[in-house]
Amino acid sequence: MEISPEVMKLLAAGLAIGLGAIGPGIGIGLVGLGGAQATGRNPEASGTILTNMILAIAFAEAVAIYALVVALILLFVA
Amino acid sequence: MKRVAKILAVLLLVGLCAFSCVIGPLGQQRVVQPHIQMKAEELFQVGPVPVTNTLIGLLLADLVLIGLFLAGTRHIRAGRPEAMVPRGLQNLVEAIYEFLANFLRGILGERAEKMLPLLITFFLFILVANWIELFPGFDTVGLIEPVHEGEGHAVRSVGPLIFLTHEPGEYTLVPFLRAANTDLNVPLALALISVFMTQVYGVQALGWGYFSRFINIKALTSGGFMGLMNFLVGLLETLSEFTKIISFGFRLFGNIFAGMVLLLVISSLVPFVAPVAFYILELFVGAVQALVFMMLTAAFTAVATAGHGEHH
Repeated sequence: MEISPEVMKLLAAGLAIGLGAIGPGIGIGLVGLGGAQATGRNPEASGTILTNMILAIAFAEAVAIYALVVALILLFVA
Repeated sequence: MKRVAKILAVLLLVGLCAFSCVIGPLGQQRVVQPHIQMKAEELFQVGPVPVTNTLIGLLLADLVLIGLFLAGTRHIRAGRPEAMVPRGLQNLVEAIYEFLANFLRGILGERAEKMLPLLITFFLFILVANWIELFPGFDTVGLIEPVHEGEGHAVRSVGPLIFLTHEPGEYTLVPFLRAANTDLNVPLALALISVFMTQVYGVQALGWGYFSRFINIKALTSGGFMGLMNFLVGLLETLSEFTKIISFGFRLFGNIFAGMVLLLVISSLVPFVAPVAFYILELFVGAVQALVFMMLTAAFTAVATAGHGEHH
């Protein structure tokens, strides 16, 4: 396949979301680990832990969303 | 009677499976590659307003939700005595509300009551709008139109029905129904409502002093390096309100749009059995996204309504 701007665009979009998801993936995994451990140690606090866990996951996930936005812009707009 | 209904339901399911097995191969030898488009497809215009398929999906979700809750609360609204002992649908509706309300009261404390209607509406609306996508007919049944951009398909008619085939041609499918959250406008509108209402609740709880968390003049005039730092933190806080809109909107949009693409691609690769697993995944994702949207709004409101020095 010839390297045309079209090909580069597809490649860039794939790389953007692929590389951008690594960090948040690790981050969300760590948050889940922490949440599971915390619930194991103190099951009564599971409600509060769930709230904080989802909040932290959302912040980590926001980074992946920025990568998604870049990938979508590359695919559909640029 | 119940037995007959059950048998009928099973027969209907088997019939649908048989129908799709027969009609699928009749319509085409190979499965059609899905046409994926980010922008909602326009179906027709009502005056100056273009009606897109996501708008119809949105109205359908509204209709289901409002209908369910109107039917569930009809005894309460009529003031009938049997409303005191909930039965059937009323029981379900009350259980949903109680569960969500208690969950939110756990996060927000006594401040929850004022925000419950908004937060629970967020959850239920997003949940229904996401799950309605999983009904058959969404993204698959629609008008056959000449393609404007990208690759088209040839068509082939079987009786009164027209199918796209895998061969290249000049037609594409414009589905009648598409989930509301696959159109970026809907999640962004929800995000704007969420962030705006957070400010409203903040002002209600703390008065106009709420805005000192964004432009902290008191810290600046108190002088010193830390005062300057606190002022700059306030500016960062302002910026984060805007990134909240983006992350709220794109989180919901990204998840549901990706879900739609996933279902379309899997259905075109392995049309039978395999999509079931992904349908279950999408049920989960739809519920989680609705929960996350509600929880984040609740958490941000909890932060906004907590004054300085007040610890909860």
